[in-house]
Amino acid sequence: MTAESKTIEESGRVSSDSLSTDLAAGLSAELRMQHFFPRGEGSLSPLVSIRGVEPLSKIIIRIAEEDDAGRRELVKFFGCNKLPLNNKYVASTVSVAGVSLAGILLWLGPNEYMYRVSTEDYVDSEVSADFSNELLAGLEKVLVGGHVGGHVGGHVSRHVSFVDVSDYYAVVRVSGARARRVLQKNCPLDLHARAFVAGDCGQSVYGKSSILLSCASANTFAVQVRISMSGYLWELLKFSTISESC
Amino acid sequence: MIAEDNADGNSSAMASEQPRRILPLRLSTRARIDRGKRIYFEFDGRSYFGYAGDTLASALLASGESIFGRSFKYHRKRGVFATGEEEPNALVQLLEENVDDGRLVLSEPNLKSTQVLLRSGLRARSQNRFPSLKFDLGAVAGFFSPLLVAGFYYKTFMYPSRAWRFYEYFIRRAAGLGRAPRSLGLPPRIADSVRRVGRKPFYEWMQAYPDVLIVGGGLAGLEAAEVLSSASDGALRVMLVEQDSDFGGSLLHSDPDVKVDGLTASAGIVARVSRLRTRENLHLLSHSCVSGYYDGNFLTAFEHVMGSYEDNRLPRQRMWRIRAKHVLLATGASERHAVFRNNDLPGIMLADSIRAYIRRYAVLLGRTAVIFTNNDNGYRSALALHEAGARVEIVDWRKDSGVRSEIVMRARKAGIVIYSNSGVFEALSSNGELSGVRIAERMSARAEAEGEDSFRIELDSSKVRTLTCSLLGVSGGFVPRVHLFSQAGGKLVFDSASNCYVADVQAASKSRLSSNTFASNTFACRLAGSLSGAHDYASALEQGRAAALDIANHLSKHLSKHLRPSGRPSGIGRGGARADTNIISSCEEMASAPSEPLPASLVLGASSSMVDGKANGISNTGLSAGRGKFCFLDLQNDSTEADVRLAIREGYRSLEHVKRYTTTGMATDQGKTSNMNAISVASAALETPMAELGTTTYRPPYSPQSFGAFVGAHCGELFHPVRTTPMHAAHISAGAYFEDVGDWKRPWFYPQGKRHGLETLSEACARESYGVRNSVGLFDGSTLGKIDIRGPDALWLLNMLYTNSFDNLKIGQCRYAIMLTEAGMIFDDGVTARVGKDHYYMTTTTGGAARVLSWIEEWLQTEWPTRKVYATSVSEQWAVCVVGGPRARALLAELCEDDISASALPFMRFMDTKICNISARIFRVSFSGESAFEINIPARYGESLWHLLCERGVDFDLVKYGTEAVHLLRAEKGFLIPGQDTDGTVTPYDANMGWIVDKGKEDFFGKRSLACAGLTSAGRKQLVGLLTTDSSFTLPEGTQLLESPKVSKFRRKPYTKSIGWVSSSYYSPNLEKSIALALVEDGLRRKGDTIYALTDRGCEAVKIVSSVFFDAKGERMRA
Repeated sequence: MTAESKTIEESGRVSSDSLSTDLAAGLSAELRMQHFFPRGEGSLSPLVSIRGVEPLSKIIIRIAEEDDAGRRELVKFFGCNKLPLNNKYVASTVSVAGVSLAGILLWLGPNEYMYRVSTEDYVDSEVSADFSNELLAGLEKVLVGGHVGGHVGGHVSRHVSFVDVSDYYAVVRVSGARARRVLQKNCPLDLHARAFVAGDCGQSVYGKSSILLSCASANTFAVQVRISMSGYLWELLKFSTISESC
Repeated sequence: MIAEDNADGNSSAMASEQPRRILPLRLSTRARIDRGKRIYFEFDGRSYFGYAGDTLASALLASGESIFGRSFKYHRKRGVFATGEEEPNALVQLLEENVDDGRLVLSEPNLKSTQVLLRSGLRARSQNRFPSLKFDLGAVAGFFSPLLVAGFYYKTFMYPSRAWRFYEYFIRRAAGLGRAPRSLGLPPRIADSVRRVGRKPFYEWMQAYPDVLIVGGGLAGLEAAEVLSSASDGALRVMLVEQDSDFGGSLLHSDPDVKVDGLTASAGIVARVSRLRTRENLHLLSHSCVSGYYDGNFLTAFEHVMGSYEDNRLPRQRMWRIRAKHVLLATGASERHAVFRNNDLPGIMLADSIRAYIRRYAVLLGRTAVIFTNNDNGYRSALALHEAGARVEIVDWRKDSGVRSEIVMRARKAGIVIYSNSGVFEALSSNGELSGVRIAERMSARAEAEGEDSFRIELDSSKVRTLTCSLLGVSGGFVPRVHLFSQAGGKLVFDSASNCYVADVQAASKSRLSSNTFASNTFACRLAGSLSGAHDYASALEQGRAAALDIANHLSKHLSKHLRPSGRPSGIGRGGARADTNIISSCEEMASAPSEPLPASLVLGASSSMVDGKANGISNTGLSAGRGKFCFLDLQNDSTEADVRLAIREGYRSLEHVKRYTTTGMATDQGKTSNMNAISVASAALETPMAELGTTTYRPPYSPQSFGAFVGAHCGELFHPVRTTPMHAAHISAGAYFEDVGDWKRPWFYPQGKRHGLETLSEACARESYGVRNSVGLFDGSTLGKIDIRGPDALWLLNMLYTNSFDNLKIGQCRYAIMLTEAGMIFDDGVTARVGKDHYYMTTTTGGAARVLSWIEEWLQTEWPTRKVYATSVSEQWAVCVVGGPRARALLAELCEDDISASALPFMRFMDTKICNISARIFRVSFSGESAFEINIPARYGESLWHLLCERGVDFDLVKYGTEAVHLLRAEKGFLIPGQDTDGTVTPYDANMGWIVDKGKEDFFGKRSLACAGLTSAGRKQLVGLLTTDSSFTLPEGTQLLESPKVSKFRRKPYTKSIGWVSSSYYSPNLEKSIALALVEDGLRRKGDTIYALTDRGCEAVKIVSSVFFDAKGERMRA
């Protein structure tokens, strides 16, 4: 166990023991994860913080609105009470590879959800919680029956789709007393403290980049952006903090 | 030092002068300035001082300055005419230090000095004068004024037409406002934004979504804010926007007897606003102009951020983009000028502004004053002047102003001489400034009746009088500021009582909302205060409350808690002794002693006899050409009554045309001081009542705004997103030059050092393409679109999207395919692989990624909602390293865990494998014509894989190649690029790709269209190869192709029509000749023919050949 490793916490965080083991295989080889996504503290104001989050497992799940049985399986798999409704997200706890993984399940559309390992625990961490393959396999098992898109026991299985997009999107956490103002400058969603509350999410733009914005608490937000545009988003967020320093 | 070329040469010398020690016109009375805070500033190179709370205009006026600018056309001297936003004359340009080198440069132009708050270190200069305000060479234009009539430029500078550019240079310099700032520093550079924090001026945006937006922070607006913010226990989000730096509107300069909450109006407002500021649900925004009112209750406001000049961490301005559920307009009214000769002289002002300078800024603008009024409000200004110690005379247009109102009695008691039933018809000047006015009595009632023409009330020339004065206040009545209401689509009606256009609340009240309301399907807006005709403070207050309660009730239906109107008395009332009650509000007096409309212009009657000998030249009347000259309508644009009359004589009838021909109302005050008078003159000239004439259209902006605010953060490097691939850093360190492909930065070529400098594009491209053909090349293909398609109907979907059939595609196989639009035209292509039974992985072109996904989603959502297939974009999940060339397989074999020999991974197959323990998917496809592998790896490992390949590739003579080499290599193979070799009119048959169309399929997009006669007939342009006779000459892309080499003596004009064009063209170092792809009429049937290309060096003979120039059998590709 390395010095950076965290102890297992009851709150359902990733057990760093198994995390390190899992990653050791990939990272000890010659290919290394590259930090081409924003990192560190970007804010130019003490009243707000913008920090990059390591690339965490993200999965887009498509399931028909009328597939009640499949939706029940999803709820069970993700350990949430129910699937989120319009522009909301719910907390999730999944057991994969022997660890309990904290995450959120975001509503993207009537038949579209995104699962994302919770960003809170991984701000600036050096380790990546890449459980995508385990999650995909788990979903395949409970929803389809163990074979990729295929027949199980001679009958056509459920029509669902789940796709790993962990590296497609970067997440930037914006927090602090002026977080809402910084976001409201270039995002046309109504982000008033009464209108956008913890548990809300929305797909919108920040400047000219498409984002998926979610509110974790009164002053904490996660901004998800296509990784190719993360440089632009990062600099625009940074620019928007200048006037919030006084 | 002033860096700009047109800056004053002597300014630095002037700046060394000591500021004046006294403020000659400053009163010692109570006002809204802080005499404890002295602020020094500079104007036209001289130092001055004022006090906190002053505007630039009030401080300069207090220092005794009276000339602020020169007029647009005639360069006449102009002074301050108004307060705040209506000011047409006193425009200034600011000067600032450039943040990069500290030089003094021009900054914001065309600011109204009446709006510029005084701050320490402020530097401003006057505009439109050369070399100085006092002596302006441009004033010579005044002597030529008979020439400078409406449409002067159109009429004069017509011939020769080519010379316009020459004229324009001088015209723009002569007739101009301020100069656009060049630069106050470098544009925002994000790379070093940390270093620049707090230095470079910037702008930003902000969005707001109030339940109610109140525009105007006067009495009605403040009261509405009070009511709405406390309604429903503070459930409503309320926003109040005021363009002045202080809230209170006209209460800021009201007379001392007006009480607010038992205090003087000024103190009462301060207390009120500070109480309102504590309300969490109320957003008070001052110094912010609501400028546009658009569809769906979308409004824009421009906030001048306080302190932004001192603290550069603050934006200069903030553009608020407001979407409100309800809007309450309480924008007030503007005072109206009168039209008479020389009505533009410095010293002539709006009467209410004179009072504002006395009450708000403690500045007395003249010791001998005349007030010309048609209403009781003018008397307030007269009394304020009288109290301040000036000698005042009143010229009252009304026939019997003597008895009816209290305020007139007060004026009489104060000993003010009142000339009733009279009008000012000429202002007299001395050295360009006001020295007196000439007035005359109106014609007797009988004479007027004889005229039987309400448009031509004239003054009795037998009763002319000259009054000496240095200040003339004019009050021609009040005009509601209907701009925003009108922008929103509200209708206006002419109200003959107030002689102006007002909001048509009659039409509005027909809607289900109450009166004073305008409602349409998309938005709701209400009016209150003097905008909707409130003539006194009490009724403005009442309207504000009523409108607020109405909105609150309306909105409370959507709130859980019901509205409980506070019912609290507002506390604004009449103070002082009972005797003072009548002087609470001037407007109230107007209700009892109404104003009488002034005529369109004031002139002496035709039967004039020279009474005091000075009437020469002004007795010509009627509609003669000379009349109305120097009777100004638009002070800034120098358009006069004569101009409007001329326009009408020349046949203009529509007000919109008259406006544009004469430029009346097009100044930076947006016609606030001129429009009503211009309409009135046009109405008289056309002999059409104003009620029938209507107004010009009100459009945003309400007042001019800085471009910077519209741009916000979106400039410099933040102008537009730049998309980069995971390997971007590696490309930069390899010295790549980038090509912009959509928003992407793609490596174009990797120039290497040679003996002198770097390789050129063609040198690098030759080396790179040679490497791919002979050893191995590495290319970043990450930008390709990638779509995961899954579901039982996935195969069916692919068969619909693509022209060829996917029925027999086995798991592990790939297939190249093209997509057509419904019209049968190629719009995208790519390779699609089958990864599972109902699971496919589609690739698209870089530019087509978003378009193809939308195309699929559109069809699935609108036409085939029951089809069971999901498409999910995974474009950036995967980094793609393309490794191609004869030695590619050998290189990869070293890195892959699995066997990738030709038998294990043949052409058009893919394999899931691991590279250094990381899962990767390798496609054995080819766009270069060589044996190539496209390695897909999770994006986070992309850069690492790139470095690894470069490192291991050294032994294989690996070259990195960019998009230029890619394009060349594929052109050698004749592979088309949708969008380069197609233009939306090319079918697969035109592209010689009939083999890819499966006519046996039941259906696919474009199938029906492909059978249309027009798409199958002869004469279509078809994709072929071209070879030049001179094999070293590369045809420029876009070159037109001709049947015959004959051209006219003008070389570029061929006798024959174009039969096609070159779509791609390169010099191929592998083939050692230049090659081109072209679309040529019936080209496929004409192989071997010689046609001609029209180039800069003449007609080049070119031969039509097959579009495949290299490895026609594809042996290398399949290896």
